[in-house]
Amino acid sequence: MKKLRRILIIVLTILFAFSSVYAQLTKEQKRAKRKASRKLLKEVVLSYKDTLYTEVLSLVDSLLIIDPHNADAFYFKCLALTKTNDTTSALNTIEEGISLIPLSSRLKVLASHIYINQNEPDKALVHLESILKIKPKEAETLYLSGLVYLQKADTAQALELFEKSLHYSLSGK
Amino acid sequence: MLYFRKIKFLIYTLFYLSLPAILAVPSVTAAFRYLQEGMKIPAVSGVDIVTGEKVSSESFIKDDNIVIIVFWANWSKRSIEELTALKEIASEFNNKPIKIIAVNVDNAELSKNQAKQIKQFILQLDIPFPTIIDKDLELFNSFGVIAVPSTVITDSSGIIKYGPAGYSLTTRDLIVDSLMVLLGLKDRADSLAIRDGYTPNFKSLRYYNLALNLRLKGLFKRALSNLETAQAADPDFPAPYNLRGEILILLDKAEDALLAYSIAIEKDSEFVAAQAGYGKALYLTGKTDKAIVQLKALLSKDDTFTPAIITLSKCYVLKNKLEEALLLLNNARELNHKSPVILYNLGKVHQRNQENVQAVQTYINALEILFPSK
Repeated sequence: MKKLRRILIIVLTILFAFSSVYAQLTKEQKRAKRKASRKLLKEVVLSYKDTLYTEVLSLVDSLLIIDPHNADAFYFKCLALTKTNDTTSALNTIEEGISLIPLSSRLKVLASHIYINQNEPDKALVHLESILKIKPKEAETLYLSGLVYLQKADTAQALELFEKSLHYSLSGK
Repeated sequence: MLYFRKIKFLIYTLFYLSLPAILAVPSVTAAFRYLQEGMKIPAVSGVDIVTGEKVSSESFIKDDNIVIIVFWANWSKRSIEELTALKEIASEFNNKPIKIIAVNVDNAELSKNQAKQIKQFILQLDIPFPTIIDKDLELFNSFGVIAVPSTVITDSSGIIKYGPAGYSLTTRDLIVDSLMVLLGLKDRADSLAIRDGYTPNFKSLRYYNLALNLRLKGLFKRALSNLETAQAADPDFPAPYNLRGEILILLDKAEDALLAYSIAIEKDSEFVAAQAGYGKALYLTGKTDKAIVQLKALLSKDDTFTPAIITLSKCYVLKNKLEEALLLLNNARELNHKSPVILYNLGKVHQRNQENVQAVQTYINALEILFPSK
């Protein structure tokens, strides 16, 4: 019995040691991954500001390999595709991003911008209403919702939304 | 403790005895919400958009220069007139210790193309002094710029002496007049716009600046606490009372704000920002008729102070004087057509007037400034 207990203690100690090492390695890996993502993202932003959209697209693809759920990657990829007039791919990208990261209001706002420019107000409204359910005072979302209603020829509703958006944007100024 | 009290009493007595030496009633420059003549100018630094060299007001002041800071924007016709006037002034006074820094406030964020356009513009105008970009409008906010162009002039120790609002036919002459006085080429200014100010003690100014930073970050309670310290350190410094009033209004305590503003005005009867704030507090506490009288009196002396214009327009709307409100706001829009606040209020008047099409367009103009297209 004593021997069995001793063996059990040794086995548990070894298991604990291994799991600590594994956890440490995973932590290191995650840290390295985060560092690499941040570095790549910085490059993406700089390239975007320099209007080097092809470079942005290639960097973003690398970023998505390291971090497939990076909302900023989808955001800049979509922006770069719109700048290169590839609206279909831009919309596919952003919708893919939204399906992977459904809580990202930034992606939904960008999608709404594109749908409004494409004169597809109903598709924009789906995303905008999902944001307003959680954040009813989101000024930019209210503004875009106003634009949607304007496209649907509902001036009264548009007016109300614009006024709300400005009220929330400018309170405290 | 008694000894400490005696020292304090002595200092205050000496201060009050030296008051007559201060030439004129202190005033706030109407172009800036948070600055007054007599205060040390906040540091202005950046990179010259044309030469790429670092520029700093502190280094100019260190070399005993008079410093002129002008806030301007590409879209403002009057800004261009002011820059041209300052170019001529720079040439006239080229062998004098005067340094000018132009601060561009076109937008909080500028793309590379936009920055390039501004650079081209400066080169076209052949502006001889440095221009920096106000990133994130930090300086714009900390100075409390009301409208563009706005100019502030300091003496050679960095103390603000003069800050004309907007650009009128007399601005050039006022600037030259003040420079002549500051350079000792003239004993007295021809214009009453130029005044010596009240220089607060260091501790008071420090806590005031801390409070201002906190206010800009929305940390109102902490800002108020710092203002109490500023007021205690120098009870005659008007700016803390004005800022206190502003914060109390933001905390929906307009009645308390009335008291704060009235103290600021008592300390400085020419304090434009405090007078406008007092008018706003009157409006918010339902004393609309008194607010109208207060604000009209203020605007008769300085018709460029847009916060006063906006409050007066709201009073007119309340009194159903929509035409007057529209006229006021359209004039304000001329001074600053990139102000979302002015456009918002203009839109509200259109809406109230059942002019929905104009209201929608005006709101969209305001929102496009706040949320530029990506």
